[in-house]
Amino acid sequence: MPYETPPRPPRHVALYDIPLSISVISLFCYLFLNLLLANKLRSSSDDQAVH
Amino acid sequence: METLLVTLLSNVFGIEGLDFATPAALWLLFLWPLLWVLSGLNQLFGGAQNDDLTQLQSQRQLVVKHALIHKMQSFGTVKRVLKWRFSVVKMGLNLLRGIIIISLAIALAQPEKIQELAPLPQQKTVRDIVFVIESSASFLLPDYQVDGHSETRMNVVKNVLDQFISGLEGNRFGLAIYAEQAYTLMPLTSDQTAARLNLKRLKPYLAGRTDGAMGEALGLALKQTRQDGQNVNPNQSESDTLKRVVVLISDGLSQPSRLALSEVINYAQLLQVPIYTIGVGANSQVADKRLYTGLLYQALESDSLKAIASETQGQYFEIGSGQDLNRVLQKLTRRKVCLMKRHRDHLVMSLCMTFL
Repeated sequence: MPYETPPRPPRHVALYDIPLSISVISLFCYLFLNLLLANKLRSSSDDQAVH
Repeated sequence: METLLVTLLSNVFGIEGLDFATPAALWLLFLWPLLWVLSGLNQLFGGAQNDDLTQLQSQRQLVVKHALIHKMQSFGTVKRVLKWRFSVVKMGLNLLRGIIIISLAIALAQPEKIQELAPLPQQKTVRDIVFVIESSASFLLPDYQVDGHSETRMNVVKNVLDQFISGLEGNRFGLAIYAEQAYTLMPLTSDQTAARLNLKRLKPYLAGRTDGAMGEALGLALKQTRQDGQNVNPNQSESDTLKRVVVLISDGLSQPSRLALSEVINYAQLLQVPIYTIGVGANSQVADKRLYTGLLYQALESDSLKAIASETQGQYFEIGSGQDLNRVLQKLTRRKVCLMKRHRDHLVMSLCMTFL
């Protein structure tokens, strides 16, 4: 009877980096878009004030 | 509920064997709709002025009072387009907010893919087994019955050892024989073919007639295990001890060993190598049913074998047949299965908490 090696425990491959990367990218997009929009709205209202 | 969420996410992402280390964090998925509802209620009861963007939008709306203002069609179109663009951007921001919350919740739940791994092929030495086999004249005694025929002790031992060695890949085997003198028939080797060929060379009378060199043979076997175990270390681990074994196959002592067995036992205790002893032959002279062979019948003397086994943390076995010997050898090679602890990564938890 051949000598069997002991069964190996299942390997747990961590996948948390995928959602974490998505959230970081989304966060930057959100901040950038928010800033851009706020800036645009503010500048246009300033323009109106000048008129 | 958590199980349902896990199953749902596994199906959505299409990953087989997807699991979550902390599935409780998936409850945070409901944070987005909750925040949406709260925001809606806030707008409904608190007015639209609470939102910064809405405030800014209302500021930029031009209020013009003129009698003919309704005739300025283009102004109304511009206003509608601007409002539409604003709501699209606002929706995009809401969507991004949702993506951030959902992905953070999933990251906090620590998703992991479980991969079943096949057992590794056996590559390294599992165990060193040195067999010390008696080859005195008493091993010519045909007191075993195999398939209805009488078989000598030596043939029975050789056949079973041959099967045993051929079945254990990855182990190393050594052979030492003794009778009047003790010799190393084969040093430790993982070459099964060489081991089996050397086993065929084994014959009674190869080292003499009597069995006075049991102590010396055990010393030779212990020395072989020491050469591979290198230095004598009293703090060596249990796994190291289990890897080196001496198996003595004998019918006991018919005359005192030249090298005192107490010395051998001391040496084995120093090296922490267990000596398993296997008694071959019948227990009493009554078993001698031969009419005439020219040999004095020698029954099994088990006291010395028991003493060696008990003093060196080994075990004594007595075999009545070839099957018994096979069972004993299988018992000697039983292995312990190590259970590995599952490690979890807590780095992700601290990272996500920082973001939240």
